[in-house]
Amino acid sequence: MTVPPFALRSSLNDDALIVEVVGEIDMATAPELSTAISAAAEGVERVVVDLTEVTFLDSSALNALVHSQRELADREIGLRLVSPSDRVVRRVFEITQLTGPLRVVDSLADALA
Amino acid sequence: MAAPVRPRRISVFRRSIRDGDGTGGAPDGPPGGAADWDRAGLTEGLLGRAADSFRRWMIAGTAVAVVLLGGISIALAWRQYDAAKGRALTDLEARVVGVAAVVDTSFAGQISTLEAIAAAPSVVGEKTARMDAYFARANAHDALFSGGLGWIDLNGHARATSNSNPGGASRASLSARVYFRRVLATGKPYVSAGIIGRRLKVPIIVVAVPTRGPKGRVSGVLVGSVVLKTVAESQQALDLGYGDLQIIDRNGNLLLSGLSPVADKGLLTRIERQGSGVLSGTPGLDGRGSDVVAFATSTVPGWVTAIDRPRSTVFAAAQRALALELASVGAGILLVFVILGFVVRRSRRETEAQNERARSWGGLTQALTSAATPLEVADALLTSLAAAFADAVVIVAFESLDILRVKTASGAPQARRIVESRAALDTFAQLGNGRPSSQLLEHEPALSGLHAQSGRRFKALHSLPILDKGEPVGTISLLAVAARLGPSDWSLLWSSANQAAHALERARLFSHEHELAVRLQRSLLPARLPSSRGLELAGHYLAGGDAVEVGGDWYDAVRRPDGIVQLCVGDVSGKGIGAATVMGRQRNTFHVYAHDYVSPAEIVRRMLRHIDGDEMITLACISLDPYTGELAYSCAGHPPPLLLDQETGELMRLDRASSPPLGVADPADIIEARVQLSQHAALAMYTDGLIERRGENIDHGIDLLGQVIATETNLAPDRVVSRVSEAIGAPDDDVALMLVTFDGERTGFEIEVPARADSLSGVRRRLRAWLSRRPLDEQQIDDALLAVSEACNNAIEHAYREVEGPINLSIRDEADTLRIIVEDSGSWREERPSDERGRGITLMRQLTHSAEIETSERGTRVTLALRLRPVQATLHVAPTT
Repeated sequence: MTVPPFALRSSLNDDALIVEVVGEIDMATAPELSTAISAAAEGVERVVVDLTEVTFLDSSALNALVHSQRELADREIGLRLVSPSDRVVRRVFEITQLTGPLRVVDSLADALA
Repeated sequence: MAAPVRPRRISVFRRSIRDGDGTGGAPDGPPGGAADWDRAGLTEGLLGRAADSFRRWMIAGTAVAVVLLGGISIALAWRQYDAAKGRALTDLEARVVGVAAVVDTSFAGQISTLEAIAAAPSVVGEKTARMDAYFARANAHDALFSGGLGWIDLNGHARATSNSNPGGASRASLSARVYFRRVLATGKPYVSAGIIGRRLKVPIIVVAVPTRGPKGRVSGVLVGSVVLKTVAESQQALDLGYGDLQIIDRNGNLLLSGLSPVADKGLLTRIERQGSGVLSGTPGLDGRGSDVVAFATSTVPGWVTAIDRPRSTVFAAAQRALALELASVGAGILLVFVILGFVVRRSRRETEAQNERARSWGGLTQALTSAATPLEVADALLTSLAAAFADAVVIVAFESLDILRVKTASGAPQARRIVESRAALDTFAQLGNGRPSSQLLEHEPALSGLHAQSGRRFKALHSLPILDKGEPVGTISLLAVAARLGPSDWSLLWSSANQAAHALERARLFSHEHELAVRLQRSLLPARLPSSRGLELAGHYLAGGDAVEVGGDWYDAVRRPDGIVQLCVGDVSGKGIGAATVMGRQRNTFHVYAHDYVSPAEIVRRMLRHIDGDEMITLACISLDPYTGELAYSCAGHPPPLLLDQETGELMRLDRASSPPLGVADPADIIEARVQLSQHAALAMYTDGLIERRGENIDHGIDLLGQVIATETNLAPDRVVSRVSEAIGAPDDDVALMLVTFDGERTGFEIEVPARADSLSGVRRRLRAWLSRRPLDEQQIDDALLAVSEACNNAIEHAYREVEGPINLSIRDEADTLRIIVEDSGSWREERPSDERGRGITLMRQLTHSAEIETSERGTRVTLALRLRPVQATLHVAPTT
């Protein structure tokens, strides 16, 4: 079947790992996100997952992010999510009331601040 | 070239029946076929030539016979004529001989009398005085000698006479007289020739005898004279038929014609020389004309008696008889020739009638060879018989599809109208009892009405069954003017019926084979195409061309569980069972790969692997997603499918993904291209038989097809084929056409996908495309997609433990609600931590109007209801109040 458009770009900014996600995060791609975050977050204090260019995000993504957050927390690494409030993805967090717990902010700048 | 397209006949076995081989069904000794037409033509020629030659021989033979017989008859008649002439001559001669004998006898008598008188004493004694008285007494009243008696002495003086008045002339000397001298010289009696008498001055003849004295010495001559009368004066002679008697004396004078000499001296010479006989063809005694002279000599007087008659008189009777003979022979010959003429004319007319029949039979034979249905057989029979019996009405009753049908034909259309009335047709359908019959109309209650209606023109109905192996399968009837038919007419009807029987049997067999072949063909093509709402599929196949056999054109469509429709049209080269087999194989291949692959190029490449040896196939393969409107296509050596955008009217050829045909192409050659369908579109996939015509540019046909699709309101493939054929002519080859009508607004949504994580993206994409055609705004669409995704997540995670199963997703379009149903047929696995599961459910519930989850041992069904907020509502203009 068709491979969902999904891509990860990671970069470092000071002590923060920035993971830009492009495309759809669903059951198929969520595990990859988790794994990538977990693997890349070595020797950083913070991981920022930029969901600005994510076109789809469902509960499996949420679950994966929650899972990642816990796992990072055990390693004392913080997790921030960037999801602009005018995007459709933000609604998902709102509905499931994970905006707070997952530290969802509007912009990358906010996340790095 | 606007020939109406009629379904061609398809027969696998037709050729084998024609050639007489093949399984059982060929009738024994069928008369149909080209050989028979030749035979009929040959017969006609031979008949004609034979009849001509026979006639010539007959005429020649008769002429020879007639000439021969006529000649013989004429010869015999001539012989008879000659004999008759001979008899006439003989008859004449006999008469004349008789007369001569009478003359001889008469003169002998007179001589005897004279000798008796000479012996009288008075004469012996030379007593002249007494002699006078004696003479007078002896010749009283000139009885014996009408000229008188007399005695002449040796000096030549007449000394005694019986005449009372001797006169002075008696003193003259008679010594110079021939008779006197002759008697004295010979001492024998003598009859003179005709002389003119001294006294009477009329022709007389004299009979003289010598007289002797007592001593026996000649003393003188005793004479008696007879006056000659003409025959004309003798009534007796005339009565006896001696009207033309003549006497010629010694001097050649005609005694009975006043001593005139015979004119023809030559004749006289001959007569005198011959003595007695008959001469024919002489000018006669009078020297004129052409006479028959019969003559005989009387020795006593030395006379010749003759009968001189014209030839014509003598031979009159013989000539009459000959003329009669000749006339009757002539009449006989004439009669023979007249009869011959009649016979020849009749024979020629017979030959012509036979030729006409042979021609008509030959025409019937030819017409019957191409008759494939009972109706065509009946028509051929009617045409042929109506021509042969020009003044009759021909009626044929025959079985077709288990119904007895009746058809009529006639050279006289008005007659036919009478016969075609309902009542008449019913009558004809009943008559016919399996035997030939002739019925007089007047005597048949059922038919007398017809008799009257036709103005008493038709007198009889002659019928004859058409027998197939002894069973009647039809009837030929003739409503005729003649009360009876001749033997040659009956024989023509019989032979026509025979031929018709064979043709009917062939037609039955042919239609049987045709049925088989049609069924075979149908079994090789899809019985049904997977149409669904908003995506109608229809196909049409038409067998064509000269070699009418099962063809290699085909079409097929597969609707995959995921809703994508795979379409294919193909053309296997060749015909017959071989091509059909390849076609069947390729169809199966297509079916299998259609499920496995979405890309048409992939499907085509896979099918390429299944080409054997020399096979060559052209293909057009299309993959169509009715929810997204995406179309992908690949053509291998096949004419380009046509796509019509029914919103803009734009017509497009799908020709940007062409490769060589399978059997020639490499896998690398196979390519595909994509097109986006508008909401309303039509698609035509076809084989070249539809648009290709001999001598015409193929583009012309394709353009025409495009026009038809663009303008035809009723897009049924058989209608499209008809319209195309009307425009460019009937197809030369098989035709396959599949039409797809797409209405994006009407398609439902119903898919089945594997319960796998990687199915989700595709489902979302297609569902998004479908939802965006509905009255929903972006957020609604997003919400729906998320809710559906969540429902699917559950199924994927929980439904199937070991073996992968399907998720069924369908959407019910209700008035103001979209009901989305996500089902699986598995049983839930262990549940995940409630918070994780909860998020999914929360999302489902929050994003939809309602979300229900029903679980049973058959599976789980999630029903999401989405309120349709009409987009127009947001554009509503607020009331101005």
